[in-house]
Amino acid sequence: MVDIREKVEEDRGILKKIQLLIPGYAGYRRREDIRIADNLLRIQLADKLKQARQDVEGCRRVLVENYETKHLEKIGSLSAQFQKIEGDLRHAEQGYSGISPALQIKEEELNKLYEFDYSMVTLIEGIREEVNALKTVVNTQPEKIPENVSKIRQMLDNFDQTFKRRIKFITGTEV
Amino acid sequence: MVFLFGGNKRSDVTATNKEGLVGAMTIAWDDVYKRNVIMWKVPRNIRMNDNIVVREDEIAVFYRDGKVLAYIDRPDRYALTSQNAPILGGLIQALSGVKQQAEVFYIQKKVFDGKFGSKQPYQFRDKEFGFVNLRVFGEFRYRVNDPANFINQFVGTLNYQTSAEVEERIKEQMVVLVYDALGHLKEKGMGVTDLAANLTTIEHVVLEKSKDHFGMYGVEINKVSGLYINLPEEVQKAVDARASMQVLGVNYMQYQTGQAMRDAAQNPSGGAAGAGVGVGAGFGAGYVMMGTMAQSMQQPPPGQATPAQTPQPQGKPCIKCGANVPPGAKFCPSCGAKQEETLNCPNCKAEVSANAKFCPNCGQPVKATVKCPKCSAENQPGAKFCANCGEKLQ
Repeated sequence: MVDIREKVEEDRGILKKIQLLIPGYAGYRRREDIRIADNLLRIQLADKLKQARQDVEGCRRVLVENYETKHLEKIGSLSAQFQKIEGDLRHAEQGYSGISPALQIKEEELNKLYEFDYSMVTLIEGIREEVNALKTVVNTQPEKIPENVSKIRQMLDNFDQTFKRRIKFITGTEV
Repeated sequence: MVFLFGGNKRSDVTATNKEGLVGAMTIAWDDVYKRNVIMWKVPRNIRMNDNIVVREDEIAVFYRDGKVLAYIDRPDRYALTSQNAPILGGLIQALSGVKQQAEVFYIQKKVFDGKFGSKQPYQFRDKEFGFVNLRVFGEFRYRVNDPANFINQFVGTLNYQTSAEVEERIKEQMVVLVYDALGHLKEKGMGVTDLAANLTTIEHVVLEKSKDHFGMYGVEINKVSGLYINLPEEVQKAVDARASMQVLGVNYMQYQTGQAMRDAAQNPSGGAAGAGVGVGAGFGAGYVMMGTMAQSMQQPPPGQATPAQTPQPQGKPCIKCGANVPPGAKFCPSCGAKQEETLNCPNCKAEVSANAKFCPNCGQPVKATVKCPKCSAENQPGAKFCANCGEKLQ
């Protein structure tokens, strides 16, 4: 994957370049650009999760078409869990500290935040692989659905727990 | 909503007022305005160095140019930044006409109480009582546990601010969850008579299931209480009667006799009732004496042959006085009581009234359900179409 921060820097327009020359305003501009890059990255990650959720909902469609209603509720709950985490990812805070804050979030921390979010790609890929396995199981061995769903739920829980740590991690306040 | 500037309380009207040299102000959500309100948007574009006070029971969400910069859930006073500063903001606005949008939303972290109740009854197919219509009522406690999802689902999409608006969305789903829990527990063998003893179990099932249903909205249900499942009157009576019979260790007839005696004792015209019993006893004694006299009168003199007796047709006992009622008779020749049509209980074969829903002897449903010829689902007696597949039954 590309580093979106570089792309955002390259594509700065004339106004933003002028802002970089204004004393006291340059820092604001650079921090905003990292936040924009992080936001773009998280939207992509959320879209990947959304694709995985749509695959899960595809499994639900297969079950409905085959009138295999036994595991429908499990699949439905899994879809709901995907939606929750997708929302958390899409609307996560972007890292901010006001005037004279207790904890500073400067450029360095914002870069860490971007890198932290970037590292979540690996977890999402693992989840998507397991969803692909679920797609196979739904068609061939429906009795294995609970086992697969349970595994995906566990992975989503891990993702959720890790993602919630991001601000503590970048500010170095995690105990 | 109140703004606190140097300790002076001001209303929303003063939100546009400038305070201090740079036009900043200190903003707090006063307790007076929190009742039944979950979310409050500060009615002013945040300026450079505007201070917000976040209390223990609040989360503040700071947006700048539409982006969530921070979810502030640690109690403190925070000085916010934006381009809306006296010189810089004015300069930018003068040159480009652009003004930065900076907003603060407050969300309450405290627990709110809500109530739910079913509008439509839930048809519970019980092994003993057949189809039973249930209605559920209860209370729940909820709170915002994920401001990101809450503000984007409830506030951003629906602009809900009060607890009543949020509860309206939640309570319908709560009823569905209770019904869902009942369905699952029924599959595990639970009947309507077990519901009262399993209310806590049902509450826990609902709590667990609610996580998936409400998590995506940023809401957490952390308690379900006061769950009440309303049984139909006739089922409740049958359940109560059975419970009483079990406690007393008697059969149905003994129980009914005891009930009748108790009712007679509680009758306000107790003397008359007692007299009635006496009259009945007198009549009974009279009948016995008359029967004895008749027998003695019909005794042939000694040495005379006894004529052959024509056998009396065997009827049914009267439903009221127990006297023999000839077959086909609609009224008792003894007491005049109207005789109801009867049928045999499919379980214990006891004779019961044709209008009875449950057998007074064994408590089982009298009328068998109608089996669907297509999907084999059992339907209520008299159903014209299958409730499961829609197949015509009659």
